[in-house]
This record gives sequence, C-alpha cells and structure tokens, in this order.
Amino acid sequence: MSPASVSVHPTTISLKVDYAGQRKHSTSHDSADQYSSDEEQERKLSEAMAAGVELPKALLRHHAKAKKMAKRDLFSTLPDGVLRMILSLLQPHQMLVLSELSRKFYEFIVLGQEMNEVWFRLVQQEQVEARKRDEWFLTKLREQEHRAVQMARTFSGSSAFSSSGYSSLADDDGLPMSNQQKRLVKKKDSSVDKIKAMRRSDRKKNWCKIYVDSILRGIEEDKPASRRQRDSATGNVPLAKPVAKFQTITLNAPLPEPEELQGREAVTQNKIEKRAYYKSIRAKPKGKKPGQDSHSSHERMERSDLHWEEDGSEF
Amino acid sequence: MPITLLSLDDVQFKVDKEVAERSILIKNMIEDVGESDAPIPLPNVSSSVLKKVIEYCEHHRNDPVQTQDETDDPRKRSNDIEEWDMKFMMVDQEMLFEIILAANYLDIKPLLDVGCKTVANIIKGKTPEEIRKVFNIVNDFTPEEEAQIKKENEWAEDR
Repeated sequence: MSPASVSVHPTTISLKVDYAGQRKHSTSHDSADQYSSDEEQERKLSEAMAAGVELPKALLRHHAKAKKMAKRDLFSTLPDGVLRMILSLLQPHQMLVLSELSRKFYEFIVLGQEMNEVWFRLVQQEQVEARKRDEWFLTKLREQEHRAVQMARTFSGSSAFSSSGYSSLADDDGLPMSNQQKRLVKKKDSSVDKIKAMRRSDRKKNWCKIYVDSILRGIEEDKPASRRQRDSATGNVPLAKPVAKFQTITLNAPLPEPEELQGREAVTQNKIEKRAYYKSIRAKPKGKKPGQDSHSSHERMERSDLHWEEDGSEF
Repeated sequence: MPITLLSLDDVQFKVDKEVAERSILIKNMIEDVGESDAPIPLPNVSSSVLKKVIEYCEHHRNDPVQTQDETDDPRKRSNDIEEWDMKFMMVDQEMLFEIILAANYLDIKPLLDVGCKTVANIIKGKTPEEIRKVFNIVNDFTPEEEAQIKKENEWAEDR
C-alpha cells in the first residue's frame, strides 16, 4: 500500500471512533445506507491493519468492541412488553412480516396472543376503509343533489327543463364546495380515519372469526348509519341470508395435497359408479318405439357416441 | 433539592427532583424511602445511557404527566414524533435499544414511546430480509419452514 493511501486512514479511523462511542445526531435510521458506510469504514480500517500501520491500542479496542456490538442482535432481546408496544405501532401485515424473521418472533406473534391483535386490527382497518368509502359516496351524492338544485334554479324559467333531467344534466366534475362544507368534510374524514386500540374486553373475542364473518362473509351485526343511507340511496338490498357455504380458514395447518383430498377410495368409488351407470344404459331394451324411424341424424350420432363410450368404458 | 443517581459503573449524577421524578420508578423510590442524601442506585443503567435519559428528562421536565388513558390513546402513530425527540433518538442502534431498555426499567413512558416509535419507523416498509440485515437477526428457519410461513402470510401482502 502506498504511503498516500495510508495517510487517508486516520480520518476514517476517527469516524469509526465516533460510531463506537457517542455518535450523536449523525445517523439516519431510514435505510441500511448508514450500515453500508460503516462497513466501508471497517473495511478501510482492516486494510490499514493489514498494511501494518501502527494503530493506538485504545483505537483497536474500540474497533473490536464496535465490531462485536455491530453483530449483536439487540432487537430480539427486547422484553415482550416493549415488543408488544412496537408491534402496536405497525400495520397488521407488517406484524406478519416480523413473524417471518426468526422462530422467536414467529412464536411470539403467530402462536401467541398477538395474532388475535393482527385480526383485530385487520377488522378495524377494513371497517375504517368501508366507512371512508361510504362517507365519500354520501358526499358525492350530496354534491350531486346540490348541483341539481342549483341547475333547477338556473333553468327554472326554461320549459325544456324537466325534473327527470336533473341527474343527466349534472356531470361528474364536482362544483367547488363552500368553506363550511369543506371543513365539515375534513372533520368527517379525520373522525373516520381513527383505528380503535384493542381494549381488555376485545382481547377475549375471537377476532379471526369476526374477520371471517364480518369482512369476508359480509355478515354485519351493526351496520353503520352511513351504510344504511347508502344502501337506501342506491337501492341495494342486502342478501337475506349470508352465503351458505364458505371454506373456513384453518391457521397453521399444512395445505392438503390434491391426492389426499380425493383419496384412492374416492377414485375407486367413482369408477364403480360409472360402471354401474353404463351397465344400466346397456340393460335398457333397445326395441324400436313408434315413430322412431323419423330420428334425426343428430340423434343417430349421439347413439353412435354412446356405443363408442360403451366400447371404451374400461374405466 | 437535588437527587443523586448512581449508575451501573458507579458514576453519580445530580439532578433536580422534578427531573428525576419523570421516572415513575425513582418517584416511587423517593416516596417510599423519603428524602435523603443517599444516592439512588440504578444497577441496570450504565452512565452513558443514564446521561442520555437525564438529557431527555431535563428537556421534558415541564411536560404534563401522561395518564393511563392518554397512553392507551388509539390515535398514537409512529410518525408523530417531535423534532427534538427525533434528533435525540438519532443514535447508534446499541444506544437506541439501551435507551429503550432504560426507559422500560425506569418507567418513563414518553421516552419508551419515542423509542418504540423510532424502532417501528425503522421496520416500516422493509422486507424480512432487510429487517434481519438492519438488526443482525439470525434466520433460524429451515428453507421449508420459511416457505411455509411465507405461504401462510401471502394473503396479507395484497392488503
């Protein structure tokens, strides 16, 4: 290594000391970039050591300590209460992402009570989304009505105007709302945006079942007023009964193989049934019925197909 | 009246009572023992971490104490960190986790909240592999198990 390159290293080393000791207000947690730059510094320090450059002992100790600390998994050592707090700040799908990190997290999230919280938050999220959609729909509806009234006033003298033409005259572009209306809409938006925290009484409920019933199956016990209004406005009549058949989700169960699903016995049973069916066809008398002469060629073809099937009925 | 705190490595810190009482643990200790000149031992906190914790408590000495209802506030988000707190938390990872552990031990809820929010912000939007890299987490799943878990969680990815 040339002396010029060695002279660069003290700068790098001093940076490294900052990292190992009290590095303040100089790092960003947003990306792994900081770690990659640290790696680069570490590499340069190693190069200096390999080149035989004399380094102070304290510096080497710092370097060794920093290296040891950098490899430590501190996140996994956090107590359960703290981990729970961190999880409560994440989106439900991100909670599941954490369960993919290691066994510890999988056991903590998926096999523990946290999974119920994932379901709870999914239900909450879906409800908030639904409320937002309904509010948006009602706002648009109100805007449309408002436009129609305004147009009715504008064209009140015109004989060509008819009440049935209100909606057709109103196009999709929204009219500018008054400040008060905007404030009201904003207030509603912010109220709709809230996701409730899981309370003690909520912990006892099976949120997986609630999610499946209310979100996937669409059985809603307490339909919000906005949804009822929306349904009445659009003429949407909800299903009298929920969908009768629905596959129940079983968590953590291995997915069944297609062969397992059918089974050898089922295949045999199927064969027996088919054989019995073709036997019963063969057993039917083949005597001519009155008026059978007028059979169309199509029927004849069907018969020939039947014969072919009979021949090839070696299932 | 100043209170003396004794860190794990026997370093003493003199702080005002109202600053020290941001920690519920210290507050309860003072209430139980009564006011005395004897230093309060904090065997789980090193001097470097205690210095940071005191810095935080000094800055927030006049903040109202959070009630239980406020701490359970459903509106809490990970992106509503004050600017000063955000800068305060810009430390290396080891220090960040040490601060979180100290806040948990000393029962300083606002500091614990800020620490957790910072960690949550690091995690947000990252893949499992990226999170493992950032926190040096060892993947102890077998490839089959990993595939199985990925399959289990596939449904949530679209949401």
